[in-house]
This record gives sequence, C-alpha cells and structure tokens, in this order.
Amino acid sequence: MASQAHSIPNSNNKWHQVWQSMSSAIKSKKVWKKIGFYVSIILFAIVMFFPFYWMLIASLKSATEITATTPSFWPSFNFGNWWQILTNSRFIRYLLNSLIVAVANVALTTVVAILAAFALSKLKIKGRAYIIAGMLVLIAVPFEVLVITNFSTMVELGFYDSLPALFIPFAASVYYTMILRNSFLASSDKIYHAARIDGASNFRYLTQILIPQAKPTIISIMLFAALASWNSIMWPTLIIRSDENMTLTFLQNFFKLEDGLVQQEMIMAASLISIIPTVVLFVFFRKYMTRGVNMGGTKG
Amino acid sequence: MKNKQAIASNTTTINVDSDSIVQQSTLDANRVAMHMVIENSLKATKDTPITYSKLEKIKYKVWAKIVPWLYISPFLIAILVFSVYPIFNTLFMSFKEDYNYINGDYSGIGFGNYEDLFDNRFFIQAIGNTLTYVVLVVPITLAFAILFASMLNKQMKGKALFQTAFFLPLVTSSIAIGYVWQFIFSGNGLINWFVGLFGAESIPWLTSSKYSMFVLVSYGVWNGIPFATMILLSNMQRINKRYYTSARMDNASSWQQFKKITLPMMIPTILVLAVLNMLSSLKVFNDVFVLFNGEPGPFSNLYTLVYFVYQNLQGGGSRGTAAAVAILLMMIAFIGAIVVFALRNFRKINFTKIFKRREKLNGITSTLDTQQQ
Repeated sequence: MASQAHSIPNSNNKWHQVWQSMSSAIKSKKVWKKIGFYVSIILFAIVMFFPFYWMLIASLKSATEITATTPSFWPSFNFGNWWQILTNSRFIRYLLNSLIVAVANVALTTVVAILAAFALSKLKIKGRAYIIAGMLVLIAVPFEVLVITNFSTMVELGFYDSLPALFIPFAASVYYTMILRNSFLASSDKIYHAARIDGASNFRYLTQILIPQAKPTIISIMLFAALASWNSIMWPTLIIRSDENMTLTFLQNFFKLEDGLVQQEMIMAASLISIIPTVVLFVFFRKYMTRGVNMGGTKG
Repeated sequence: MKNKQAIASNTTTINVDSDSIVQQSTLDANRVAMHMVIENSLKATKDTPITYSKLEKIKYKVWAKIVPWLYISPFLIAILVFSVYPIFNTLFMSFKEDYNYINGDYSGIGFGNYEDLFDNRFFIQAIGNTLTYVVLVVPITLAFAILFASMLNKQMKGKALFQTAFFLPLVTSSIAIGYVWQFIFSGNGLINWFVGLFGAESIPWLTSSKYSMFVLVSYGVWNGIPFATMILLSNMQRINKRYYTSARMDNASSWQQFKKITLPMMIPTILVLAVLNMLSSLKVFNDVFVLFNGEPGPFSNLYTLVYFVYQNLQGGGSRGTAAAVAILLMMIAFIGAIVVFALRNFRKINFTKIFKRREKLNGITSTLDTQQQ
C-alpha cells in the first residue's frame, strides 16, 4: 500500500484508500462468503418464523383486507379483532380453563416428581433397583397405549368431563423423575448425612438444601410440563364434553369452518392469543429449556 | 426427646434426670424446663448421654423405614394406576374378540382383533401413510437440522435473535399454528398467491389427496427441526475448539473442517436423534388433527396409526381394535427404544479410525498438503 500511495496521484485522499480496500475486499472470496452466509441464514430464519409473523399480521387485518387478492405483509394495526376475541366470555372461559389446568398440572407433576426423585436418590428403599428398572421400561411406553384404559379409569372414578381429568393422569411422569433423580444424585451424600446428624428432618433437607441446588433442573421440568399441558390435543378432545370445561384445544368451536364462510382474521387473533403464554415462557426461559433438553440424555 | 415433650405439653411435672421432681406452675415450668434442656444437653455430651426408652427406639425405627415409602407413594400409586395397569389392561383387551365395552362381553380370546385389522382397508392405508410420513420426515428434518446447527454454531451478530426464530416452533405445536398453516396453504392463500406470481394456477394443497401428504410432511419437518437443531447445536458447541484451530493451521477449508471434524463427531447424536424422531413420527396424530380440523385428511386419505386408535375410541368404535393397534404401536416403540439404548453404547466405537482407514484405501492424502485458497 505504501508503494502504491506514491505512484498514484491524490492517493493520500482518504476516500481513495477506502475505495482501494473495498475493491480488494470484493475481489476476495471472504466478503462474498459472509454475505452469502447472512443471506441464507436470514432466509431460513424467515421460513421458520414466517407462520408466527403471518399470524400476527393476519390478526391485525380487517375483514376486507384479509380477502384481498394480493396480500400485504405489513401490519395494519387494526386491533378490533383482538378486542372482540378478548371480550368474548366463552373464549375467556376456555383460556382460564387452560391456565388452571396448566398450573395444576405443573404443580402436581413437579411435587410428585420431586418427592419420588428424592426418595429414589437419597433414601434407602429396599426394592430401589427394581423400581428404577421398571421405570426405565415404562419410559418407552407411548401415551396412545394408555389412553384407552385411562379413559375408562377416569370415567369410573367419576371424573369424566371435568377439569381434574386433564391433569390427574399426568401426575406421575417417569421422564421428569429420572431427570430429577440424576440431578439429585449429583449433589453429594456427605451434605445429606451432615444435615441429618445436625438434626434436620428429611423434609427440611429436601426443601432447604436439595431443591435450591437443583433449581435450574426443576424450572426446566416445570416448563416442559406447562408446555405439554397447554399443547395437548388428544386427551382433552376425548374426555371433555361440556362447554364450560373446554380448553383452548377446542378453538374450532368458535369458528365453524365451512367453505368460503371463514373469518380468517378472527381465527388468527384467537390463535395468536392462545399461543402468547407459551411464547412468553419461551422467551424468558430459553436457557432452561436447552439445559433441560441436554439433561434429557441424548448426549452425543 | 423427654425434655422436648415436657416443653411441648403444658404439664406441671418435670422430670430432670437424677434430680428431684419439681412441681411448679406452667409458666415457671416452661422457663425452668428450658434451662434444664440446655444444661441437660451440655451434660449429655460428656457424662450422661441422652437415652431413649425401648419403645421410643422401636417407634423411631419403624418411622425411619416408613418414611421413604411415604415419599415415593404418590408417584408409585399414580404410576400403577395410570401406567402399569393400562398396559396390561390394553394387552388383555386386544385379545378379547368383539369386545363390548358397555357390559364387558367378549366372544372369544384370540387374535381375532389383529386379523380384522389387516382386513381393514383403512388400516392398511394407515400403515402406508404412517410409513411414508416417517420415511420422508426423518431424513429431511435431520438434514435441515444439521445445516441449521452448523450455521448457528458460527459467530455472528444477532445470535439470540436467530436462535429464537429457529427454536420457536418447539413450544407452539398446537391447534393455533395449525390454523395458520391451513390458511397459508388454502385455495387462495399465500402459497397459491406465490405460485400465481409465476403464472401457474392454484394448487389444491389441502383438498386433494395428491398434495395433502406434502403439506403434512412439511408441517412435520417444520415441527421437528427446532428440537433436533437444539440438540445438535449443544453437542456441536462441546467439540473442542482446538481441532478447528489445528485444521485451520493446516489450511483446511471450512467444508473440509465440517466433513472431517464436525460430522464424524456428530454421527452418534444424529443416529440417536434419527431414532427419536422416527419414534415420535410413528405416533403422528396431532399434525393430521390440526391441519385438517379433526378429519383424517381430504377424502379420508390421511389415516395414521394413532388416528385409528383415536377414532375407535369415539362412540361407535370398537375398543378391541383400538387396543390391538395400540399394542402394535407399543411393540414398535419398544424396539425403537432398544435401538436407542444400543446406539448409546455404539458411540464407543472409534469413528475416526474407521474414516482414516477408508481414506487410506481410497488413496486420499491428508490435509497437510498445502492448498491455495
């Protein structure tokens, strides 16, 4: 560069040097590679993210805009659809039902899993090895096998068409218990023995020492339980019949879809509202999800 | 223990070791008892140990044995009622021919339900659909996942933003997104508008039996990519950076780095992910339900195995056939789980040795040769 500067007139000009570096960069492959990389990753991200964007856009359109032949990709800020959905008392009831069931499911599953994982990791149980072996077998069993009998069981217990039927069968999850057990095993036994010698009861040790240590794992388990409950489709459609117990799984009850008479923007608004809780959970707890997925055990 | 009990109850008698028994009012008694406790426990360390009576010892031993079972009992009860009992019940139900659910009659015990299944045209179709779905979804999902994970592994600006965009479908596999896909693929939806820009006529994505499988498969791929990408990315990030540094020093291009470092180390993860994805794809039901509003596809051509179970559980279906399908599903799932467990031990095989040997056989020289970029 120094020799070039002397041989070309006006080469001390800053802009000429900028032009030199830019042209040499464009000639090199590196810049094209970088541009290509960013372009392709942006395209892929658009494809993966597009349904959510379209949901947002479409829910903000008015009825005339949505049936226009050329769709517009820019939001139009017509919040009337959202207002109409949110003031529909039936929709609010569905939403509240989903919330109640999700909270109850998370609470019940987490408590049962923590107690069981604690017992299986720190306490002496005579048949411990057999119980764990049985649980490992049960992990592979798909839910569809259990649906048939669980349906009859819930009917016999009198829970048909009620909200508790949506979270009671999922109280015991082998998957969560195994994850928690692994995480409890990681904390040393010495602390347990020391605490016991100092007079702490088992429950006190569990709540004051073990749970705070395993908090990230517990949070990720709670997240998975909440998501599984919010997004479940097969079980609610089988066991819920009356309108006052329905959850957001039954969105189609609001919009009878016949050919041509479809309120697209309303459906999009309702769909958007029904996925907002999960999106919020995801944005705030993304870290815990990746960690929980790791501990799920598909280590490479 | 004794002194604790003295404080807890409002007794007026206090037993203090070998000293005399003192009778006072309760308030004084508590105050004195506290002092006694402190003195007693201080004494206990040196001269007189705290002794328990035989009854107390037995009670404590029994209690200590019961406690673990108390902790595990809610879990065990729920597992027995909702997991173990259903397996056996479904198993037995699948062998009861002509099982009448209402009054529990059945005409015989045998493989009748299974035979009826294979005579059922819809069941054969369900098998075909499910297999097609699995064979298409699993490789495409994994290919995209490997691509996305290696892209996300690089240093770039706005990494969190891209990660959010790629991982968001993980949390929203429900009816809501299904509606969006329905509208995008509908007769006058976005995809057809896009197609119309090129002059072609609109394709009946969701209403013809030819194209509906394409929509289903792409929905399955879109739903399966985030999870696979997440796992692959976290495993890719754990590869030691020194491999890449030394490869860069040896003038390896990024494609060679990918082929020789990243890919071999990801093969165990890829295999495990393939089996997991295959297992969950075999249970495809949500996708069909969500895309076609509860119907099994246009003209009922997208029956899947689990949809078969679901339909037979509605009023008017036969539980026996549902049970039979479920048992078949369970056997496939068991085989798959065994394969996953076997694969986890598979990774102890030294893959780099295998690839080096293959290189030698093919006459490929090492990357130490200088290459101009």
